[in-house]
Amino acid sequence: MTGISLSELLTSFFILFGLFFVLTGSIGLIRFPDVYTRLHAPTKSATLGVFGILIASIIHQASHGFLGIKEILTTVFLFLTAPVGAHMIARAAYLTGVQPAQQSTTCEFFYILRQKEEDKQDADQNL
Amino acid sequence: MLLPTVTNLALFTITISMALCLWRLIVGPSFPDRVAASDTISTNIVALLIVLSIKFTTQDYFDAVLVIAILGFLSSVALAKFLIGGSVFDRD
Repeated sequence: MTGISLSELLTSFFILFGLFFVLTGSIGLIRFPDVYTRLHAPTKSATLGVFGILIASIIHQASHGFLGIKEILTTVFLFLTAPVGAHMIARAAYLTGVQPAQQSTTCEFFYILRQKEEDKQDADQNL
Repeated sequence: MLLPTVTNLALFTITISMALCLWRLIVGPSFPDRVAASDTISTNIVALLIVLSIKFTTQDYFDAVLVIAILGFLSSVALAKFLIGGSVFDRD
């Protein structure tokens, strides 16, 4: 265990911490059933992962005598903009009528849409 | 030897994660899926550049990090606005 300093240990720990969340976000983007659940994974998990990697970078630069102003700026910017972007994407999906997964039952707007489609199909079958 | 191993592992894992996002970007059934995937890819590029700046112990990558973060946010907002209204800027 010679040659491993405390700052190196902390930097490695925070990199691994952030790495777990970045990979989790991408796996969630693959595995969730529809757009609205898929947006949860990257915007929460990947943002937290980038936050961990930025903390590692701040510790690493501080151990080499630099002050990480731009890291802090990037952290604040990412934490401000990630929810706004996710909200805009979800709003676009909602207003353009992207259907949620079949097992989601509580959205009344899509319940009405689904009901109208079933009525239309019934009308087509009656013709 | 700890830190080079961890940074190499981080570069490998973030590349795998970007490949997963690329799969969603190609396959994604609806257009908002693709917008979310490209947003996640820009977030992953930010993480990749920060890991590179730790690996080489420079501060030169942070200008690129800020620019890519701003461009990723603006592109996803512009695509969402385009999806809703058909135009990015409102004329009224």
